Amino acid sequence: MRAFGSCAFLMLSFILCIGPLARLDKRFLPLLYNRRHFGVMTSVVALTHASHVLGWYFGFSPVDPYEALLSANTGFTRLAGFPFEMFGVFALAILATLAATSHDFWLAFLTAPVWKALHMSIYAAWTAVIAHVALVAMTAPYNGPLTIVVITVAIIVVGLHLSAARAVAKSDTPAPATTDGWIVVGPPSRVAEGRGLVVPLPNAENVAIFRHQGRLSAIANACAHQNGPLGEGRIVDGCVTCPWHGFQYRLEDGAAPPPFTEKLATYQLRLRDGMIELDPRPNPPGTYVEPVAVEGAGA
Amino acid sequence: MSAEADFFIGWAARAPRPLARFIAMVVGASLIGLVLLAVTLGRASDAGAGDIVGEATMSGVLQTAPYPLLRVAPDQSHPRGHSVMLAGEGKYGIGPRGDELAGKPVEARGALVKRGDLDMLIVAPDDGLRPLDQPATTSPAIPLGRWRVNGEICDGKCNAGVMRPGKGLAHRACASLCVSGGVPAVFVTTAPLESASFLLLADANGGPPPPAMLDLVALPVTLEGEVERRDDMLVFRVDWPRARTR
Repeated sequence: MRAFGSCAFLMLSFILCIGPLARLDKRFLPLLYNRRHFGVMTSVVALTHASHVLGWYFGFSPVDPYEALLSANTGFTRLAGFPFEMFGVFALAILATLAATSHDFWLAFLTAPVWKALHMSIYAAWTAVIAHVALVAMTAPYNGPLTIVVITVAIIVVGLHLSAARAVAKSDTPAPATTDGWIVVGPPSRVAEGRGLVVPLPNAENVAIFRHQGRLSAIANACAHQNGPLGEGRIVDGCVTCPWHGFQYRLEDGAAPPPFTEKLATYQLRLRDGMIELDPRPNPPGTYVEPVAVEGAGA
Repeated sequence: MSAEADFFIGWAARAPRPLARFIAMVVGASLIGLVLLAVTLGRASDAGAGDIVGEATMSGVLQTAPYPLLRVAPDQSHPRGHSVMLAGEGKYGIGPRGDELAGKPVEARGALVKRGDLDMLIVAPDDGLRPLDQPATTSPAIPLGRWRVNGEICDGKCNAGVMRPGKGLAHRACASLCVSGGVPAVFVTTAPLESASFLLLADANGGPPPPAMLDLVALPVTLEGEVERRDDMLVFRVDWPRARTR
């Protein structure tokens, strides 16, 4: 019972660390590939914990276990003896929902923004789990080590998220615009061969500019799969490759190579006075845009 | 497909070697950390000294107030006599069988649970209680005066070793269900009282505690009342209106 509960808590906390770790150190990116599978496993472990609790703590009595869960402790108005189980029920409901909608079918059905917003509720689940575990740990004198673990884990998870947010904020300063509305990105040397540069737009969207074989192209930075940061990806086989799950897009039209059908918005680029300039108005997804040759660069 | 040494693609045939090494190290360190945590947390839990020690058959006089007790006559290991709490299986008391045999000598059979100076017999269903044809003699209760004691209200079965943990907030709902079902309620003191760490709870008149006690189960509380000794067990006749959380 306790082992499954502790395990689910640690697994959930580890899952939440993967995102900011990958943001701070790209070597953690491979862990992103299996984050969803890990999440489903966490949900199963949490469910096992809950079934043991129902079977032991709420079982063997004249009262139905589910009825007992809701009625055995109703002291919601005070901290001492608070029915901490409700935090666990809340977290389990979220974890079960996220596990059930983890398949790509739901991602396509709900659309990436809605699916992403739904799956951000993992933070509500984690907060509830912290409350669930902390209430038990801090009210039992023999649970000193668990109290230390809960506090340490909470500091690590929150600390990593704050660090990652600070790192993102630093790189999110919009570039200055020219008189005709184009954005001055900087000299072509800012974009290394085979790499991308993320350019934040005034409307909070991001554009990824890539240099491939001496020519520059710009596509939307958010991957159509899960909004992964394409600008942090690489060019593999002539296509931009997402660092999160390896989805690929052609540079000149933002379309995934056949048989895939995903399409991204493309953007116009130009070179003026030795500087890359970007038109912040997106083209419809899949629109062909001739790449801009960088002067002096080998093809 | 061309890949770079530091760029991982999940569908690629092979992960770049430096990345694979790094991820293997991270996974290995996480597993070692998890094992260390498991050992630390496992050792720190309230394993207690209690456990189900096996089947037992005992003879004595059955008393039902405040809860069913088997008053076993003194012997070499219990020179004061021995009071054993009785409960049924699951979160149940011994039920109407206890009322029928109250005050009579009986033989009780079931699973014995021990934790420190607390003994509880989980009476076997059907034929776990059998009347005996012998005189019903018990020694009188010895008053030990009025006490104000800090501790936690638990059910005598889980705290004796049936559940782990058998006390604290985690166990609050279970303890409430046990006590509601007729399992004897005990008071686990923060410091020993007359060498005992457990007291059987009663109301001021020696009857079962009032239902309002359930609000205080598994919380740190201070109780006040008269303590008396029955054989080797202390019974706390609590002045319930004065009970408060700490």
